[in-house]
Amino acid sequence: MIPVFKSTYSIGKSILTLDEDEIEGGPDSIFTICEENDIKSLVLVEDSMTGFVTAHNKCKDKDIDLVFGLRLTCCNDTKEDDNSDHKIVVFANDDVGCKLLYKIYSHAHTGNGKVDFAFLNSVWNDSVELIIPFYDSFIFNNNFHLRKCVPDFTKITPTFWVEANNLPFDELLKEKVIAFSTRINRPAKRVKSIFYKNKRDVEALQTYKIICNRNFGRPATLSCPNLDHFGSNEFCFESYLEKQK
Amino acid sequence: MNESLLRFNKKQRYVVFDTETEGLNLVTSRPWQVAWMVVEGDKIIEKNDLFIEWPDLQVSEGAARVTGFTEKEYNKKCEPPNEVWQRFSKDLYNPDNLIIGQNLLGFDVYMVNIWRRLMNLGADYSFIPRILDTKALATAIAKEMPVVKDDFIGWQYRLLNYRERGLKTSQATLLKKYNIDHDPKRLHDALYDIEMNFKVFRKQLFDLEI
Repeated sequence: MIPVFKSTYSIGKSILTLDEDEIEGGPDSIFTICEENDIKSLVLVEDSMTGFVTAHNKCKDKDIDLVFGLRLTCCNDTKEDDNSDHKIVVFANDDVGCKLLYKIYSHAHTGNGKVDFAFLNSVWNDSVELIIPFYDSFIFNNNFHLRKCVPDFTKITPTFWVEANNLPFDELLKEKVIAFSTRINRPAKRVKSIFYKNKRDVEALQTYKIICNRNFGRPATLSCPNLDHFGSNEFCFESYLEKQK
Repeated sequence: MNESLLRFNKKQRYVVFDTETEGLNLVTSRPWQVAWMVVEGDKIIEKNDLFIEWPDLQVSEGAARVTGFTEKEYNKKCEPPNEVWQRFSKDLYNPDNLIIGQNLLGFDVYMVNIWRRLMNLGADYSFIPRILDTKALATAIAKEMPVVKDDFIGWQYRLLNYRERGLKTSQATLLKKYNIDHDPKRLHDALYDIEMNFKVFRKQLFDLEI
C-alpha cells in the first residue's frame, strides 16, 4: 500500500504542513512523519502547484525522492456545463513532466478551472502519468451521483487507485473500480490518502474544513459540521501503519 | 400481478430502525438511543426502544430539542453499549431481514459504525446490501426514476446524493403526502417515528417496482 500525502497547500483538504520544524502543539509536518518512519520516497498529491517548489526544494535537502501529482477537475467538455466534473491526478515522471504539469495547470486555471480529455490528449506524452483516484473520480460520480462522466482512454492509459477507509460505500466502490480497470486491462493499486497524522486529529481537520467552507446557510459546528459522508477517521498515517501490520 | 414484489410478500421480514444521537457529526456523534421493530409483511412482531450508556454524553441543544432528550429519562433507562448491541445486531445482521429507515445510508449506518468502534469492534457494513432507504425511495418516486435492481444500493446512493431545490423528502412531508394520520408532536418519540416510517414504506411499495 502506498501512502499518499496532501499538505496545507491544498486549501481545506489537509492539516499536514510542509514545514521543516514543528511547533509544540502546532500542526504535524509531512517531513517529520517521513523522518520518523524512514520514508525515502514521498508521494504528494496537491490541488495546486503552489507548494511544488517548496516540496521539491525540501525533499532535495532531505534526500527524499519526491513523486508529485496534481489533482485536477476534469469534465467531458470544458465548453459545456453538463455536470460531468470528476477528479483526476496527473503525475510528473521527470523534469519534462513537471513542465507539462505546469502547462496543464495553467490551462485549467486560465479557463474555468477544469480540463477535458480533448485538451489532455492534445498535450499528453510519456513524461506524465494519469491516475484515477478512488473518491470523486468518474467511476465514483457515475455510480454515486447522477452524473455521466465519459473519459477518453484511447491515448492516455490510466492507473486506478483503490482505498479502504471504513466508509460504508468503500466496498461497493472498490468493486466498481476493479471491474472497470479489469475491463480496460489497466492496473489498480492500493493506496492510502493521508490528511492528518493520528486518528484523534480528525476533529482538527473537520474544524479546518468548517473554517475554510465558504457555503452560505446554517453555520457549521463540530456537532453539525455539514460535511457530507465525512464519516471516517482513517485518512491518517496511524491508520496506514495499522494496515501495514 | 407480480407476486415477487415486496408489496405482495406477506412473509418478508423487516427491521425498521432509527438512532438518536449527540449531534450530526458522522465521526464523533454517539448514538444514545436505538429504536427498532421487527415486522413480518405488515404485522409488527417486536418493538424495541433502548438507551445506550456512554460516559459524559453531550447532546447538543439542537439535538435535544429535535429528539426530546432528557437527562433524567436517559439516566434511568440507559444500558451498557454491548448489551444493547447484542440485541440489536442479532436483528440487523440477520440475512433474512430487509432493513428499512429514513436516510439510513446517509446517517444511521455511520452511527452504527461509531457504536461498533467505541466497543473496539471493526467496521462491518455487511448489512448494507439489505437496506431500503425511504428517503432515497422518496426521491425516486418524486423524480419518476425506475428501480435499478442489479445495482440497488448504488442506485439509492445516487438518489440520496441528488439535490434539487424544492424536492422535499423528509418524513413529515412523506406522511402528509400519503395522508397518513399522525401526531406531529410525537415524531420525536423514536418508536412512534419508526412506526410512521414503516407506514410510509408500505405506501412507497405501491409506487415502485421493488
